[in-house]
Amino acid sequence: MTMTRLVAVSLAFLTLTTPMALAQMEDGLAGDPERGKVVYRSVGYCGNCHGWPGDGLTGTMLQAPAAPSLRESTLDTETLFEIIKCGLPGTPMPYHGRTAYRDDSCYGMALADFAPENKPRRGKTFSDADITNLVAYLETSVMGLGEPTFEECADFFDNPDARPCSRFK
Amino acid sequence: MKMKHCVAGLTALTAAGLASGSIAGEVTAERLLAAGTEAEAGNWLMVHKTFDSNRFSTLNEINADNVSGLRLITAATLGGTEPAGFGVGSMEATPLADDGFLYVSDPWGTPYKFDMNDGKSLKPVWVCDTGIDKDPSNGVILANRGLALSGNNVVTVLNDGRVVACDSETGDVVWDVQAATDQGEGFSNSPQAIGDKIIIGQSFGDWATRGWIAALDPDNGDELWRFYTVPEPGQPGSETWLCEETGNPDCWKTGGGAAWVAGSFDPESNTLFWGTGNPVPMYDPEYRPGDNLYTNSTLALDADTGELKWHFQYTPGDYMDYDEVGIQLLIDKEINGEERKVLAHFGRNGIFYTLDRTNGAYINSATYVSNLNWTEGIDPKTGKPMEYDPSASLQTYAIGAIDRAGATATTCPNIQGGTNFFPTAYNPELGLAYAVGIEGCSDLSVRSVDPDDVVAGEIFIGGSGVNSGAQTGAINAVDVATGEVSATRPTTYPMYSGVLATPDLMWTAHTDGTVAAYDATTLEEKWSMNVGTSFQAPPIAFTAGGKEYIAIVGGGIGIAGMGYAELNSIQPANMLWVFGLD
Repeated sequence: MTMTRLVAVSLAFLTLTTPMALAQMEDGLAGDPERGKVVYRSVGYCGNCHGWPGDGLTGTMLQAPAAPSLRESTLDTETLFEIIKCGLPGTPMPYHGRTAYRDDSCYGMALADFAPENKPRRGKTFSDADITNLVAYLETSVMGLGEPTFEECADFFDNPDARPCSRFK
Repeated sequence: MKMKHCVAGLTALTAAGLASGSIAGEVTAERLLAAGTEAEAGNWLMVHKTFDSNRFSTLNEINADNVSGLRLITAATLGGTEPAGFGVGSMEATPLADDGFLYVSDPWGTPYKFDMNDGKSLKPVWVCDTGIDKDPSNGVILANRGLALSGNNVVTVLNDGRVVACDSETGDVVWDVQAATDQGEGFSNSPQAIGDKIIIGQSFGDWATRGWIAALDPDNGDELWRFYTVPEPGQPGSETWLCEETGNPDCWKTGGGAAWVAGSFDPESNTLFWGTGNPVPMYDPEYRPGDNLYTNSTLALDADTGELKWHFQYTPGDYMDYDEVGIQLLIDKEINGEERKVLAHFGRNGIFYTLDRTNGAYINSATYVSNLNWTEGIDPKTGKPMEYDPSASLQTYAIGAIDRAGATATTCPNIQGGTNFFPTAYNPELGLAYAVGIEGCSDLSVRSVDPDDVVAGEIFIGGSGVNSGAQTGAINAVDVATGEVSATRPTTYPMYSGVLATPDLMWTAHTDGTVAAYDATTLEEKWSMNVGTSFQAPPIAFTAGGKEYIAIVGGGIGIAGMGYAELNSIQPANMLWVFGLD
């Protein structure tokens, strides 16, 4: 894949054909949303950029602009899997796949193929199963939801007294 | 105790002719006043060493001629690596030393005492249990910049808004007060003991709160006075908050101006000098039009009443996060043939300023970073940036405005400085002031937030300021008499640690784990050693058993990685390190 097309993917979130990713999902790795919540919250610390509710507003990362709202995202399953696995080169979205850029599953590219300013950032490393779990969490508990609620916050942190939940009281 | 009594006590102390070279026990007002004298040369009784914040130690057993033989003597582990909402905190505390005992704090503000008197090891004496809730959902940047020794107590300030005094012998809690009571308020700095008061500063302005400085009774923590750094409507300075223009008349209530680094104290005039933080939200001036007093300022406060004597605002109507909480160096110096009582300050905005500390009048300034583009220069009469328009509700500096319509800008230095909370120092024997900091730029943009969505206790920045290209660092020495940068030493990585000055050396430490000593005049490296923890705190010099040592705390990288993979791989392991000669 050319960098031009890759950038287009990054900007427009076009759906791509990702044979390896699709194959893994079609192999029957049913995602577990509960485990996916844990991955989002305290394995990948996704909320640092996306906000705990995935609203793109309440993140705590000061070294990057606020990440896109996942609640408003319309990405399909395959694209979510790919972006989590491979990141979005040239943006702060890091890659999380164990084999990302070491086999040809990420845009057919290796890290050495990128110019320094576009080199994908490395995030926490997830198994493919956990990427599937995370996608399941996003699709069942984040995407398409409106404003976050106290109940959602208390459930996310497993603690009704968590600091971020105070705004709902 | 009133200050005049302290002065009388100091006189008596001096008359007694204490010549032991080290005195210990209760840390009285007299001892704090004498912190820079020969009697206390082996001790480091307050975070900035002396009330003038010079961080200059007269100890000279370790010097430029023998520092090449310096080695690691011992180390001790500290706790506090539990994360909060922004991750694991950084070790930013200056250790305190008294009679061979060291007092340090971790990022959660927990105080520790160690005994170094055998010259070989740091024996844990106690850990004071403050009962802090290490809530991982608490969305604050964890930091604690040190402790205060007050009488027989060791005082700490906590991110939950409490101030806790621990018994210096036993580590038991003596008193515990909820000094900050409004939602979102708390502390990341260090308390400042001045004998008859403990001065504290509310630190979480960027979390949609209003900054304040207060004095507490050292016997019980009762509040004696409070000064709000953002005035309420009708108070002097409130005319610089044009909240009515925005449709949100309460914009001042979340206006920031946090006081998140301990200030200086001039006993002669009984004046406190504290720096204040940025207006909030930092990147969206349309939320809070006006100059936004008393943000980005040096404040001179009457120590007995908290009344404002004068202020000097460095960057009015800021949108570049150039807060000025950093160190206020009090220096008596001849400038242009006139003996001046100077307040010198390395601005986060990249400019070194000298003011007359008796009235806040501007004296001189010099750019100390290699790349500064946000202003064409400083008006030599007013000390304000050339572009400053006192009649404008929104300032436009040389980089252009950023706004809600989409205008962006790139500002140099980096939004984190210049220098920042990283303590600076002054060598009175050489007339040189030192700072370490960052060399680079930041890309700025605005993202407006509806006032209804602003919640005290949640970070509120109104946009973004991200690194623009590579960030490096520098060590700078400035000749205070001439106002000129006398030496510069570029560094590979941005510097976060701060400075210690000894007679012929300048000490600092790097984010990659290197502790180093440089020639005090040329900044030529004289010694260095990499121990692997990231350094975001300055070293101190102290004695134990009559021998000089250098101590410093290190830990994880926190938010200081600045895009360097090798720095971001440094794991949190909080340590106290001690170096010495064989």
